[in-house]
Amino acid sequence: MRTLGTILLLATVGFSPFAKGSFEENAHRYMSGQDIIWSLSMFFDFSKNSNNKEVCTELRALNETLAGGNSPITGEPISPSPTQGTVLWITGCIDEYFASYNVLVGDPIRAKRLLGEEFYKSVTDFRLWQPWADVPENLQRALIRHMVAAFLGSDDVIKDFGFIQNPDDFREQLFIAAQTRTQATILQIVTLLAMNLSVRDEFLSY
Amino acid sequence: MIRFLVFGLALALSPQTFAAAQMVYVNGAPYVDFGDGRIAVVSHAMGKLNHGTIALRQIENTCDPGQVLANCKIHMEFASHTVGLRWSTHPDANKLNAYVKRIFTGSPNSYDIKDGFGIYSWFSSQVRNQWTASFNPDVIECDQYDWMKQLPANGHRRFLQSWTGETMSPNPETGVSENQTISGGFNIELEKNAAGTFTVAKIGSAVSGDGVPPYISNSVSTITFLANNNQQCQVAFEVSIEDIIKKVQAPHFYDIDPATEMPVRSPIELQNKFTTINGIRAILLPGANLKEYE
Amino acid sequence: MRTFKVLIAALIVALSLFANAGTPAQTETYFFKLSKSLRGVPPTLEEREEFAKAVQAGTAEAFLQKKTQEYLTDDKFTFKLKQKVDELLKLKQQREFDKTPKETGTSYDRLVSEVIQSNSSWDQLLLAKSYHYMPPIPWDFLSSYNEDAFFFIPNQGHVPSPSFEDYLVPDTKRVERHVAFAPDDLRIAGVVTTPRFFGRYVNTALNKNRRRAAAVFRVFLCDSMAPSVPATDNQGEKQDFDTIFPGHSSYTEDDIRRNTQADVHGQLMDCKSCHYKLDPLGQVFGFSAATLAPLPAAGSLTFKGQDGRAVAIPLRGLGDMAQALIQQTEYEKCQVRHFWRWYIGKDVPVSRHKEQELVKKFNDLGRKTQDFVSYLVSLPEFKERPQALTQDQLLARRAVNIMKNCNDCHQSQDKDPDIRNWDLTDLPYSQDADERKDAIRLLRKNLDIDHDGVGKKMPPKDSLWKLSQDDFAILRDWINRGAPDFDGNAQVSPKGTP
Repeated sequence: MRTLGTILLLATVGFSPFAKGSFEENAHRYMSGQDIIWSLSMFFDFSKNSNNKEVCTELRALNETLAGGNSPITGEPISPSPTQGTVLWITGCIDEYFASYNVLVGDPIRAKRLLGEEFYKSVTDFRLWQPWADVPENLQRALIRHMVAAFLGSDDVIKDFGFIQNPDDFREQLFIAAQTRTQATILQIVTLLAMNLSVRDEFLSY
Repeated sequence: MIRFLVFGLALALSPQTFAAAQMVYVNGAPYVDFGDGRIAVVSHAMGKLNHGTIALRQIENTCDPGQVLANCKIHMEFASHTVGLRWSTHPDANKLNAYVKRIFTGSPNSYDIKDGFGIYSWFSSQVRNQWTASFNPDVIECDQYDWMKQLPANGHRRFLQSWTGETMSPNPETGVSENQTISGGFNIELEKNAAGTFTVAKIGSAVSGDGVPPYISNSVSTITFLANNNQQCQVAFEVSIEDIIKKVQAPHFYDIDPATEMPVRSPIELQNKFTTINGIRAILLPGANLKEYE
Repeated sequence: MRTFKVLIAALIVALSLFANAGTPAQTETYFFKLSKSLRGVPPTLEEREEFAKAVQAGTAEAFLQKKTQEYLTDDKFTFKLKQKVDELLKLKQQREFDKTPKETGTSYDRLVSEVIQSNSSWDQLLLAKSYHYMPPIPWDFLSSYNEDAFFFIPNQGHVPSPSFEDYLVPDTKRVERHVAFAPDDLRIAGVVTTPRFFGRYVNTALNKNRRRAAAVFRVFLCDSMAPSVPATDNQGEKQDFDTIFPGHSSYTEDDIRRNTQADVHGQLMDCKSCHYKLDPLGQVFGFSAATLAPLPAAGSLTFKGQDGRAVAIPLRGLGDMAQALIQQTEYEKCQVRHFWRWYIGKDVPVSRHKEQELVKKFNDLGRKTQDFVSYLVSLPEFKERPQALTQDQLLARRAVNIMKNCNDCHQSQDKDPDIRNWDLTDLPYSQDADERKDAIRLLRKNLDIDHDGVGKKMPPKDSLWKLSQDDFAILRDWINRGAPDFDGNAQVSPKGTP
């Protein structure tokens, strides 16, 4: 997970630009820290993380400044919008989750939500640590299609949000980026997709 | 030989299990039965009785702003209070009556399961502890008593709706330290003495349940009352507890008077005694290693 | 791993895009917004499938209404709305969802949660006379409020004593307590008389419960004690003095001298603009220090209404205060604005007309919490996709933010009814073009916007609030661009255009 290729993968996959303008004056309402934990828990059971599970399942002193908490002295948010720290917090939890837990075996309900019925049924043949390159293209695309919809919503919702003008192009970018990772396993691609989608504005705000 | 070695190894490898400790009550007093012939009693004791003076310099009277401000003293008897766990039954006679010591295998660290930092006066006996009831009540002596002119009175008695003390401590919501009222009592009655001083005669209830007098403060002590014309009044004093602190810091202040040692009878004696409480809770936890208590 | 994550994080935060010019949110987007706003999570995959079927069957509207009601009864909705109330009261945020409210909830937490969960009237936050709470953890005294001491001391003079088991045995279960005061108990006023409120707004000899009074004004009347401009004529000054020192006409010279010594701070003209409100309400908290006092204390609810009326309601205790507050129009407007901010957004302006509509609906619905939220999320303002603002729209918002300070004084104190009724934050200023021109000209001249206020008439010299250079720059820019309204439409011709 330290290669330049991975960096490029995420860079080309796309980034989630936070809305311009101050949080108070403009556009998007971000979910609260507790909302982020609840929303992520639809796909990930962070209590299974071998490290730092509390930071991923509860708001505490360590993470509440990253998650939109208010200062009780002023009553105002400590930070008006998500920060680099927020991104690192979310992606760190997801990374640790996949590293420490076999979601296919341990949590079929979440696995299906995450991967989609079609890919979930087939991946037991492949197993998550098999090469991504061995997965038939139609299943690769099915996975990407499902994960985008699961995290961001349908094409109508995505377009309406305004950042992605053409969801098909967006999915194509994800597909191409995944193909460049010739040595990646299925698990690595799923991890990268999950990390990328879960920090997008379309997931974190409304 | 081999069988002995195997047996020895098995013994070394098997988890150490002890009979679990449990609470037992004898005449209402709590004991911890270690289940191995050792029993410890939760007990308390006083230190030597001390006499101290607290200086109160009046800084405000909202109902009589032109009043000449008074200088007062509170004469107080006080003592330290130690609560802890002592061996009452032990195969080693030398350990009897000693405090149970928590040791840590492989470490030189240890500590006695006891708390010795309480300071109590007669005031607290009115709202929680009974063991200070035999102390002389606190007495107020001022250079003049103009500030009392508007206190509701009945004969020698004067009535205060509240007498509270402030301390710098963290705000429970913001975490920022600030002066705040945390101690004192409601419905306090003062009794005028022949010498012209006033004794704190009765306390209705505590401001926060702790029984700390309102004049034990490093800041301001405030009396509020309804004057006879139904006006809400506030008289405030700046407090100096230098004399008390000097005496508390004297050597042997916390030394126990063995004659006063006795089992704790009321749970309220355990309030704020964290080392004792947490120590006993740890002993009672299932699987606690009771060998680590000497 | 960390390196690339930091790089990606930097990319994400560094880049930004404008959204397209706004279009009404489609129904499915509305569904997402409803779910996230009310209960903090997007619709589940199963719900999305149900929604798709409903759309096909032409029953999407009914489906969304059903989902709204379902979300409003979700524990997550209660938790989220309670968090907003915690923020409003500037309390420490509740962190653990699963353990609240029954296992760890203080009286305040339980009361707020129950008001929301049971769809009670919002007024119950003030009117409630009974509380549920878990007793303090005796062995962890420092981490929990002593609710027993707070509620029992005033009633019985002693605190329920924990048992030895409570202190010493690890698995002892705590049993919830319920304390109910008489419906006419003058000491009790909902969330105000809870340990968390008292703990947040502590009292000292100097403060005399003014901090608690200020919190009540801010939370329930949206009066944040903005500094006022003292009256500049004898008549106005006399009126102010009468309000603040009602007994002064009978003062002897000695009384005046003593009063002058008593509270110098409270005598100063600028200070009294807040103290005439704070001091009488602070008295109602009376002898309450860390816990409730055994007896209520008298005082009054005193302030100048937004319509200029003088409010001076004598109170026998905090119970009377609660009753008096909920009857004020300022309370109604303040509470609906809180809800608007929570569910529609701080950046979506509320016109006076809209505010009146909201207040009417709030009252028609019996001020019931869930019902009012249900109404808000059905409004077009909730359904609309928030859009990135144009420069003119942003300028309008920044300008009215400055004008709010003018409103605070003029609406409560100005003797000229035309000025008093002119809401400087409500754009456009008139439907009539000439009236708008006059209004902008008046602003420009009285503030001397073109010269950074050198020759200004407003705000007056002795006002505590003054415009900064940045403020003048914003107003100048705004006026030069035609004083655009919130939609970005110029109210007058921009500078340099005919």
